[in-house]
Order: sequence, then C-alpha cells, then structure tokens
Amino acid sequence: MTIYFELIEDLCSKFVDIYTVRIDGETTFEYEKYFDKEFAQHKEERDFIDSSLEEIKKRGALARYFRYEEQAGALPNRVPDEIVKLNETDQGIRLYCIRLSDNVLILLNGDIKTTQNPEYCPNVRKHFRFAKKLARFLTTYINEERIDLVNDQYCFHKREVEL
Amino acid sequence: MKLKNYKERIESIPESTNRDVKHSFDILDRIHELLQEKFGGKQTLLAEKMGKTEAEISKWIKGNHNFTMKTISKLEAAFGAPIIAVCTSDANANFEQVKLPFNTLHKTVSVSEFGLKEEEELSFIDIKMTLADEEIDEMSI
Repeated sequence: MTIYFELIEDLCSKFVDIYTVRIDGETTFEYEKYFDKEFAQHKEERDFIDSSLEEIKKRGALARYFRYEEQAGALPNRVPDEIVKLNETDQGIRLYCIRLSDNVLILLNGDIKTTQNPEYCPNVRKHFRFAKKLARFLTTYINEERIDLVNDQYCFHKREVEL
Repeated sequence: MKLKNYKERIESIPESTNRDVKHSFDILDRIHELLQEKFGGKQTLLAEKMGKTEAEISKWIKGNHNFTMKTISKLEAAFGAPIIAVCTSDANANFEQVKLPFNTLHKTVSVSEFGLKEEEELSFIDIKMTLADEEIDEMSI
C-alpha cells in the first residue's frame, strides 16, 4: 500500500514538524479522522490531548511527553486522576503516533481503548497495528534514504512510500 | 493540510486544562533538567538517594505519573533544588527563585527632572522599561 505524508500546518512550529499520512485510495488523512471524532463521553481527555499537542508545538516532541505501546507511540502520556476515574468501562483515548526525533512527529488515528492490551481492543487494534507497522518500516527507510531528522526541515512533506 | 475549525477547537479548551497540561510539562522538564544536572542523568543515583527502587523512579521520569506535593517535596530534597515556585507580589518574601520568566529580576528605570531612578524587583507585571546594566551604562542622560 502507498502512504502519502503531509505536514499538519496548524501543528507545526520552529521546534517540531508534525505530519500525518494518507493511505492510498482514501480521501482523509489519518489524523484528520481522529480530529473529526466527537468523543462526547471523553471530552476532558480529548481536551487534555489537544492541549498537550499545543505544548509539544512549543517545546518539541521530547520522548518523555509520550507513552509507548511496543513500537507505537501514543498520547496522552499522563492523564489527571479525576479523568482516569471517569473512564470506568475503558482505558481512555489513545491517539497513536510515531515520534522519530525531538523535531519530527507523525500523528495517526486513535480511538477509545477498551482493553489493557491494544491487540484485544476492537476500537484501537487497527490503528495500533498500523502505527507499529509504519514505525518498523520507517526505521529502515530513514537509514536507507539517509534522512537527517535533525537538520532536514520538512523531510517527510509530500513524500510517498510503499509500505 | 489544514484541519477544519482547529482554532475554534483549541479555543474551546478550558483555561484550567491548559494550565494543568502546562504545569505537568513544566514539572517533567524540570525533573529531567535536575536529574541531568545533579546526577548526570542516572536514575539509579536518584533512586539510591531517595531510597526508592529504580522502577519507581523510572515511572516518574517517563512522565505518566500524577505527582503529589509530597513526592515533589521529596524530589526537591533529593535534588537539593526547587522544582516548583510560588508567585508573590512581596519582593521580600522568602521563596526560592527558579528559572521561570515571571521570577526574573527586572530593573525598572525611570527618568524625571530629579534624575535617574532605578528599582529592582522580582516581578512580571507593569514593567515600563527593562534594561541590562550595560545598556544603562551606555545611556547618556
């Protein structure tokens, strides 16, 4: 499958280039799909994630701002206790992403996680697997293509890869 | 690509949530800064100093922990340096000064018919003119 990378203009800053991807044959970018979801029962958590992205925009995509589920990164990292208590029947929202460096981040899709292990969750399994697959692919691709994640600004913008 | 209604979405986030997120990022950044400065980035040394397991320290460092005031105080004691500070309008207050913009020492300079008047204060409000010492020296009045 062909994957198209594109910068998310609203989230880029001098500290970090934030991208998302579109899968060949689809009209919507992965992060757009997440962004357009309502999360009516998880409004506070959704706000927390959006606000975290605004902070990342100001500080860079430092490793400590993310949680990790195998090769996939995800937000939110920390959630206030009062929000955790509200998530009685699920594990809260997971927005999957791939953090490549302090200044390169790829945001993907996400949803409400219902099980501890994302592999067993019908909502996030697909996004989790895609994030892992793309992360594994990019590790090799970056080396082969000699992409400089620190100095090459917009290094993934408009790039197409065969996954 | 541009997101639909991004600005509206961000503006709809309550100010209290933005402050919560900012504070948690600030605290996490400061802990990492002090870990590097005081223990060369080694979690084992901090764990030893605090009498904790490395796993527990690792959880704090990863950033997915909700810190209590008690834990922050213990970390401050272990680092021998402040993590958080409180704002005050009392310039003589006995609080610790950390590297935060609102706790920077400002020099306010006003010029009147009586000459140059300088006031130093720890403040972040209502500063008419802030100059570095060199700039003041260079001024010819």
